[in-house]
Amino acid sequence: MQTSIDDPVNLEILWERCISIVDEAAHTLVRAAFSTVARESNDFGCALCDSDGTGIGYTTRGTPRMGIILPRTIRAILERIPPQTLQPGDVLFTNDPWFGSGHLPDFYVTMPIFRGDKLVGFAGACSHVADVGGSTVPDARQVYEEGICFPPVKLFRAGEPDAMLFSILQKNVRVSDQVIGDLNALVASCRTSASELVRLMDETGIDDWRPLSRALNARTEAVFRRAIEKIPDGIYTSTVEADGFKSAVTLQCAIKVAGSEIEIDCTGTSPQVSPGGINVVYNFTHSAFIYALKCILDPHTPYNEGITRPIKVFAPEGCILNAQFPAPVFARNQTAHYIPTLTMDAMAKAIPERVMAACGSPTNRTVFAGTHGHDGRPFSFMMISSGGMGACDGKDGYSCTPYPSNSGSPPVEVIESVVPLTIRKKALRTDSGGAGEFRGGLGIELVVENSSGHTITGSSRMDRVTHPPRGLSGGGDADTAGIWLDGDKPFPPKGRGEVGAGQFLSIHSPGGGGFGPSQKRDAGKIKRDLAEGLISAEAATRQYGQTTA
Amino acid sequence: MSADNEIVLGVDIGGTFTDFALLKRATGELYIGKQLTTPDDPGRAFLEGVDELCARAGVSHAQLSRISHATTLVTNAIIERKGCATGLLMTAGFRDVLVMGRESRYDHYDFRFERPEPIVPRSLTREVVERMAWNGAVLQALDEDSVRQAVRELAAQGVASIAVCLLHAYRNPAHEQAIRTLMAREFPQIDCTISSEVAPELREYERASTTVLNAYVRPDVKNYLSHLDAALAAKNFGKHVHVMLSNGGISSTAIAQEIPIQLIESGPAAGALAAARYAELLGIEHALAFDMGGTTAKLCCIENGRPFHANIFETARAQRFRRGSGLPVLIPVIELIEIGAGGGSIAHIDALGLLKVGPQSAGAAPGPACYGRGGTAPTVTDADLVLGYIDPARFLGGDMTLDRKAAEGAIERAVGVPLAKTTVDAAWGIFAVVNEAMVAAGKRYAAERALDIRKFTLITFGGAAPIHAWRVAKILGIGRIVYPLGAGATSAVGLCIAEPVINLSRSYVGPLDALDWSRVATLFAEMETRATAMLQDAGAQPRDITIDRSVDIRYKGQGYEIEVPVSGIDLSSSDDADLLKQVTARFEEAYARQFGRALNISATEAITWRVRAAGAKPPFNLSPQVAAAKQPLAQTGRRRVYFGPEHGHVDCPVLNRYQLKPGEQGVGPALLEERETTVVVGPAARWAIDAWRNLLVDL
Repeated sequence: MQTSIDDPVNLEILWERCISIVDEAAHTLVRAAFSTVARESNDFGCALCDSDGTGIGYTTRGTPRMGIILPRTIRAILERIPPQTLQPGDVLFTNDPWFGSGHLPDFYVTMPIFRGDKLVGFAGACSHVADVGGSTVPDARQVYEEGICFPPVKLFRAGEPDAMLFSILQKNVRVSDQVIGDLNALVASCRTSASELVRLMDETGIDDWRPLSRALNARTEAVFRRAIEKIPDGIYTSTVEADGFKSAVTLQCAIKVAGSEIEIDCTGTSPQVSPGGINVVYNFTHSAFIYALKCILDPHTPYNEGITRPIKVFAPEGCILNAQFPAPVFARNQTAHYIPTLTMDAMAKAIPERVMAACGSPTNRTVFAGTHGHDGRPFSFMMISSGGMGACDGKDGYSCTPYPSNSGSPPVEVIESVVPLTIRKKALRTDSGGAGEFRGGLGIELVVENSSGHTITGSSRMDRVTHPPRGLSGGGDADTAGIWLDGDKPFPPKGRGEVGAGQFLSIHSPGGGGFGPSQKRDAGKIKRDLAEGLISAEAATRQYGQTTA
Repeated sequence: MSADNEIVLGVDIGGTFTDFALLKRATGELYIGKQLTTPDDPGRAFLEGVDELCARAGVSHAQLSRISHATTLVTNAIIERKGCATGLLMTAGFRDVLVMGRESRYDHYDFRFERPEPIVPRSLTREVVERMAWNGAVLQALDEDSVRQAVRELAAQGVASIAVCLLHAYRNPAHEQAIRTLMAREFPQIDCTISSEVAPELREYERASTTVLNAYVRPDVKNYLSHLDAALAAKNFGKHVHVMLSNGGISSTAIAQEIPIQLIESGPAAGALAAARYAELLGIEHALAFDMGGTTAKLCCIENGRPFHANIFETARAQRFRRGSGLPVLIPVIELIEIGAGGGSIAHIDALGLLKVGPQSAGAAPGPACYGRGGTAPTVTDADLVLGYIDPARFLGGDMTLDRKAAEGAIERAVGVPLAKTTVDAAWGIFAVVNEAMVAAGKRYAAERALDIRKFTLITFGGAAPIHAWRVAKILGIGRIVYPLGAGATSAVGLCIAEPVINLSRSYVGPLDALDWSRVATLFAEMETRATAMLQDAGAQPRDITIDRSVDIRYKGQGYEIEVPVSGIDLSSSDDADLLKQVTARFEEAYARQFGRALNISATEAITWRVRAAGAKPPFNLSPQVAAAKQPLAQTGRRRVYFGPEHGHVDCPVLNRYQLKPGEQGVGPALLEERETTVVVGPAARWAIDAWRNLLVDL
């Protein structure tokens, strides 16, 4: 019996089934993935599309932007490798930054799903892999220096792997076991989606998913349009300055709200830079704006592409938010993580009660590399120090919590068990959160000692050293980030330096911005912050005008 | 008295009811009792119920071999924040471990997401000067004056209990033990919990969280259990009450008083354990226990009579069904999948115009619309009533009459009209959507564990599960459903038939090819000596004790450890290469079982070493009924029941479950009514009553 898609009960059940299938595919990916990136950092996505490449289901796990981008990437791949050239068992692959999520380590795999001879949909999966060759510091002048790039290719033909592609990949990356393991995990994940979708079709008698995706996308679009309609019409602008690579960069946007539509124009944004892989491809810029708007307007409805339809994003070609080939893009989050702040600062002018002040992001990352003292084995470890979240109307920001990224640091005990580093301190920094009626979250101080017995290197990717996370609606700015050697000696925040045996790096992550004027903060909350040591007595006086006995 | 002649009593205190079961092993007679829970003093219902059941079974308190207890005391104290004022001591530099947590957001989009407040605020956390290295070496000796100073300050702030969690204490507990000794000597009025005793495992946040939760509830649990013991002693029951731990094992009160956090899931564990013993009794290799109550449903996988377990649990979730929104607890637990949908779950139309059920629940008050207690929102129970599965006149054995008109009205208003459906179609929609939630949870779980769920047999408990199981099983592709008799007090029955079990663990991290195997052997020996002593304390005979060893291993670089059984490997062997080979082979076998194939990589790391020690399983012989099968069916009537669009309305026979004798059988559709629920047998399914009066249904 054919299940009718017009029925809201069936629609709900089928959508839930599709999401459940993609979650199964995500489990397959996470379980089979080899590097830690997919599992530990959740840096992956899975989606199921109809035969046109329109998304019907997204995994509830992983990173949102990966899910947002996947169907776009699948459709872009299909423009290169048309559907009519595909046969059962084919698998397509690319890590081209301009097809996927903007840097080479993100691998995208898609597989056409056939039921008999009929193409009925596409399974997609993507993940950040451990290595792609190239330089490991974001100082490249061009993307060529950042590693190997595969344009859309057929990785499998009729179920047979292309041995040449695998051997080229194997020769060009450092930890090839892990990278090839992850690539195979992506393929396995697509196979799970494909076989389960066919099973669902057998069970329900559905032979075409396009009516389902049309119905779901139309409903989601309608909900999103209603949310946009509640925003007063107008043009809302914002400008955010970031540290940049060699010099500061400016991001700018004008968000035009008209009826149920939003147009974002990034004219005025700084041009792409070189050297410095902090450039963002359009796909990634687009998904970051969509993500920010969904956070603000409709965080609870499950994501699907209907949301993107009322939104247009324009960024001039060649600006740092629409970087053109062959711009270096490796560390594009250094810029892209500002996009939610840019969006919220603009929307604050229309709906301040719905947005959040700037977060202590982009996330600081410092890669320590050297050799173990006792046996000379090499090690490399990426230390993450999360900042504070911004405050919003009615709520203080969480301390030491990443946003928009969602990958924090592994436990101190795990780090010390695997690499010759001793964490001397990991503590909240008093007064680092922006003051306000609602206080920003606190950043942290991390003190990392080199206990390998050798000199090692530290390569840092740190922003917000000169540009603090700003407060909103009268809220105060948060404290900035910083990095020092042995307590007070300068250390490069964007680059590489040496850390001698027994020396230590002090890393400060930024706090989050405050929301609303600090004079309006509830006296009980100020008292509690003081008792908890989140603000000092001096700050209570200076920022909140409290006299403390 | 030999185990075969024991008389055992189980008491399960739940939110609404306290359930009792008394089992006379010699004859297999089982008595079931129920009292309303007395939240102001849970012991009152406990004692009254024991009196009542003993009287009914004709035994004196002194004749009872054992009383086993499951309680929500611990979980309620945590959720309602009613534990004692608790302080925390951490290594200098790490005061903020509880505040930082896992440095992640469980909700990707909602930046206003809620988190539970840490149990111990920053202002009651003090740092002590000391430092251990990852390998247990002392980097900095313990400064006892810093401890005195910290404890003095906390005492001045009024704490009754202190948790101690020092970095790498799982590897070298010397400093934590020294602090405990110091406190016992100088601050005897303050209770002390050390992390190396509660959860000696790697990962400071999870360990600290577990330690503070234990410290938070320990004084009250000690108090509660000693009061119970005293009250029962006054009635000539001269033994300690035993408790059900979250691992499904019965334990002595001593453990409950030391590590009460292990009681956190005692009720649900008892239910799952009961299902496991039923699976064993019936020879079911792969079982899926399905329990659906008022607000939630639970699934639990059971293989070869043993429920799946996990070594971490999450409590006090800010959003009950969101993983990551709660506080982690590193304890061995029976692994249950909780789904936010039960009989009281409310059906509504969401912003997209789609039909959703739950997680909001009408609870017991106002309850489903059909209860007639002021509830106006349509619930799953209302849908079940409208579809004909429940008899409005015989709900709870007729103690409560349901209002079918109210149910129809609620469904029509909130679902039928907005979706332009007839009331029956809308009710079927609610039924289908809630079933789908069970199916999705089951499928996701099976995917995570690489299980083929179609091979499983569904074992069904709880008020609502027997109504929904036929459909859930069908969609999952499950072929057989078992409905044990007397499913209303499953957890209490589980308490009568559980064996004592102790799980212990210690982290010792290192690459497998560079481990000190003599240290591993010593770790196991220490854990096994301690576990054996604890089991004997709970009444186990040394000759009955069986021990399983396992270790969490991962490929170097992977974040997932998998638990690998290593029983039977002789660790006293001095042939390191051979040990490496044997353990690696076990790891690869376990890995391949879960992931399809092992990887061609030699770098592996061991993380945590585990021991599970169990006493003898008590016999479980419910008295078999041997009455002749050739009696007429206990049919009590017929009812019009809706079985979905493919079957429509069917004139369905209604049978009294209690009158069905072993050997009786039939073909669905049929309704088999019990006091607390109705078993719905779907069209064309074959049903039969087995020798223990369980109902078996083949789809």
